[in-house]
Amino acid sequence: MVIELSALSKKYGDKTVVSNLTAVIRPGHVTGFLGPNGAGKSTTMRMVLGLDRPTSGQATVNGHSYRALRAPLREVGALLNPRSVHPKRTARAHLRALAAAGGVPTRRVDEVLELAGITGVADKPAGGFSLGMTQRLGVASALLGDPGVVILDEPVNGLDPDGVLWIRTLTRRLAAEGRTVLVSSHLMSEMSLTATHLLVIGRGRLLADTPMADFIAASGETYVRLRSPRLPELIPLIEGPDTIWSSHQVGEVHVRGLGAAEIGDRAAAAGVPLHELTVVEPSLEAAFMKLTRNERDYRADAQEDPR
Amino acid sequence: MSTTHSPAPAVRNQLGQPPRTASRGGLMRAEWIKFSSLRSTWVTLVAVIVATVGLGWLFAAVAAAASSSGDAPLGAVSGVALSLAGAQIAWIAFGVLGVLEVTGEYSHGSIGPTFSADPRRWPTLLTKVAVLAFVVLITGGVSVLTAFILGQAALGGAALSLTDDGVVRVLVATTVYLAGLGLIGQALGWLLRSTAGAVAALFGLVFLLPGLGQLLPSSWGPDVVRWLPAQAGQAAQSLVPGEGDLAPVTGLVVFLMWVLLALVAAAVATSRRDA
Repeated sequence: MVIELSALSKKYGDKTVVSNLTAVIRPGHVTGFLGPNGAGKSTTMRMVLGLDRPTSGQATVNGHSYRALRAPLREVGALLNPRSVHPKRTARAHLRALAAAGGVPTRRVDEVLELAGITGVADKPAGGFSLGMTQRLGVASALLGDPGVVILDEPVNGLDPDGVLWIRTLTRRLAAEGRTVLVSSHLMSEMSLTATHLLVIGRGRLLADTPMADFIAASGETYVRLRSPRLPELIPLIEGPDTIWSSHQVGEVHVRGLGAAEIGDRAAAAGVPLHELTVVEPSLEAAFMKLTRNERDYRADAQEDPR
Repeated sequence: MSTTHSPAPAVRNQLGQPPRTASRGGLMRAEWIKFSSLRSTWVTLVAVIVATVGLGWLFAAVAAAASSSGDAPLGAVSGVALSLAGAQIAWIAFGVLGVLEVTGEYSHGSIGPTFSADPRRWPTLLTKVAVLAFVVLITGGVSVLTAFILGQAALGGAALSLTDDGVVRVLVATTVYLAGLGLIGQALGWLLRSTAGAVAALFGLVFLLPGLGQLLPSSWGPDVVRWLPAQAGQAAQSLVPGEGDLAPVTGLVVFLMWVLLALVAAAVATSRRDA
């Protein structure tokens, strides 16, 4: 149950949307597919699902191109565009039609309705659904065939906090069951909570294919944020050959090269009060921004973080 | 939304081994569910039956009244045409039904899931063709037959029966014409993917193209016009072939060739293009 991208490329006219993408997405992980809007995430997923044809290269699922799968819904489940139901059709009718086409027993429809928490509205036309309910119907469709490969494009878009939590729990559980889970998002914070592996793309090119922890570690370093009303007395106490400190605000310094415990002990010994002593881990967001600085299609320099 | 986090059923369940190939029956059921789960489908079909039968009866009754009062003597030939007058409007409904069966999927994005379930695509296309043909042949056939029987009853003295020469041929040809235009509508839906575009193209094909043909030189223009889809299809629908029309059977065959051509073009384009 792997998704394999080999030198996958897609051009629309002159515009290269996906460029020479090679990666293997493995089972048992939530693989986060991260990139700014317009980076080529959806196009890549559409090529995996055989909806768009690669200009060159190929995408395979379990070694076969999607078009060669004879019962694809039983192997791959996908949520691409949540608004993909006829608005006058009920959720149940939509799922029943999909089940019939995909060779999935009809009883499974009730199961996924229950799983997505939309049994109560199953017989109402999908056009009246909120974005959150539509998203849940999309997830229900994706899980209809009990597939070993699950592909979700921006699944938390439009979901309320309850729904976001549901998606997090669900994706982690799907991975824990040994499935291959590929989840795209432009929300880095969301990815950091669910993904254990990361594929990062920008302007269609692969920027990183790495475990989440490595990605974060490689892209920044841990420091200690320190605030004290008597900083001038504190600075000499923490200075040393391996320590680097920098000041960003009055009364606050960032210290690298010295642990929080050590700083706290020295401050206590000298009787200097501390108002804050925080270990700051590099965030996925910071790592991502650093990596994609030059890869964003639409830069908004004015809004860019000066750091 | 009020969703509780009671323990959800396990994702992994026992669906059994996946089928080795997607079943034709499954696709048929899927397309039938899609077709029949929209109320507009049924409204359209009922409207077609009512319009075809009602208009045919109305035209025949009015003509019979005029004839009996001596204003306009009525021939048997025009009597058949009168009772089937509604069918000349019904094709619009069937054509649009054919268009919507496809463009509805594109405009609402359900074409993604549909093709995800059937990545080869042409089996889905073929199934949609079968579902539409089945429904239109039944609905169209019933309306045409009912319209004929009621219309002839209204005509009284000038009425024909099913056993009269050419009557069955006209009724069958009219039904086939309705189904054929429904399928051409569907093919245009696959090709153009937009409801407005496909409906406009269908109308252009039936209404506009013959008119443009009139602009051709009179020495060879009519030879072109009679081979056009609508003209060929209508050739078999009159009891006595019109002057300059193709022979009934030839016309019907030519019409069906146009339908086939449209569907093949649709299948080729659909399986090659990005969804």
